[in-house]
Amino acid sequence: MKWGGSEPTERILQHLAEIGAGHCTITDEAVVAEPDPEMSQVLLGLLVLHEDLSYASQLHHEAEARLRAVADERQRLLEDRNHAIEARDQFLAVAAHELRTPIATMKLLVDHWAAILSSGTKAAGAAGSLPPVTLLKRQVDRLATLVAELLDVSRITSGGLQLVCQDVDLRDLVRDALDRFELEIQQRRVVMTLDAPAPVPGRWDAVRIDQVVTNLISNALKYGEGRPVEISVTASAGQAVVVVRDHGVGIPAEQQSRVFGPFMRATTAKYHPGLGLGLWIAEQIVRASGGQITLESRLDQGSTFSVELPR
Amino acid sequence: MTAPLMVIDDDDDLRTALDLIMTAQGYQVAAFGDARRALTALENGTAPFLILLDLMMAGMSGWEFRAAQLENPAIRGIPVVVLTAANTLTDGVHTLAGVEVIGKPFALDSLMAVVERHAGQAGVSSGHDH
Repeated sequence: MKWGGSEPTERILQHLAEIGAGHCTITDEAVVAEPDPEMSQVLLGLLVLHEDLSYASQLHHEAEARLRAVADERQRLLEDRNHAIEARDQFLAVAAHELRTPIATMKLLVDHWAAILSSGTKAAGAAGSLPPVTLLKRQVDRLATLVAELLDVSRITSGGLQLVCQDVDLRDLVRDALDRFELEIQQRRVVMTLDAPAPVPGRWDAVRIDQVVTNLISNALKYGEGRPVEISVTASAGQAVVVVRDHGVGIPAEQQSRVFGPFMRATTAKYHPGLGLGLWIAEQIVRASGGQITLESRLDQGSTFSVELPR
Repeated sequence: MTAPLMVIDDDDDLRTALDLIMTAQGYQVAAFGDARRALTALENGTAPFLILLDLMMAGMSGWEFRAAQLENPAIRGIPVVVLTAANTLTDGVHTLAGVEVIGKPFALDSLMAVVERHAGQAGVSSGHDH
């Protein structure tokens, strides 16, 4: 070795320490300018070693980042899946509760009738205590509605929502739906107005669109705080629009994106009767009809649902 | 005056049916669709021999009602029978202590057995000829 002394060894060791720490102060110019050819070779070797190590380290980081991304994605999917399972379990608990309630009423009434009938004519005043058949009938209707909603869920989730389109006047359809709420509107003493200046003909699935309109009217009554509800049916060249506006509790901004989700209720903390599926089903129907349903709402000021349907 | 049977259930139909049937059985029925109003009635001196309480109710829930009842020494002792269609007896905050539970749907006979037992303990006559 011509290097003499410990200086070259120290230089090499210093460069090795730098390279070990991930950087290198050797430059191409320094290699060329090095007067000692052996030292120049060594410096070149160190520079190449540093570049190889840097490249390997970069590959390593990229691989790590990819692995992390995969792990994050997996974690996200797991969380989504857990949320979905949780929502489904909650939904099943709600569905069980909602189905049991009318059954409980039916069972009580039937037991009571059976007791009266089996006691024969001796039951003094029995006729006076006969429960009204309308009460029993309403439980059958409630169960039928719940079961229809559950069937809709399975139809929609399996992609089997079939529309049967025919010529329909949307104004007539909305009027008919409103007529069915006459009693409830009277009982709640709600002022409900319909602004529909002209017929709105088009081709839609009348039964399904009626379901959408019925759901929106029902919600406006349920969450409208007894304040006026305004409904309008209008048409332009390409589309028909039904608007249902209430001035009730409204929906907070952060919950508005949730109202069209399945198994979600905007106010989940508190119990509300029903399956909480109405708006989800409504949106699925409107979307399958080529239209869209939108919501404008402010807390304590009310909600406006607009259904746009192509004509 | 005979002590009434209090019914608290926010389902209009079930409450109507219970009211009708229990009245036909000869009981005085104080029926409430709103637990908060029922609580106010108790605080104002309504003294039922038994409370039939639903759990999952809009507004004040059955759990919240029971918690408020237990906080008030004047009404704490009124027996409560929970009628519930829920799968669970907890709402995540409250648990239910010291109540009988009847799951919905239930047979009229089993409900009557419970109501009559409480009426007997309280010395309430149903006014019904058996």
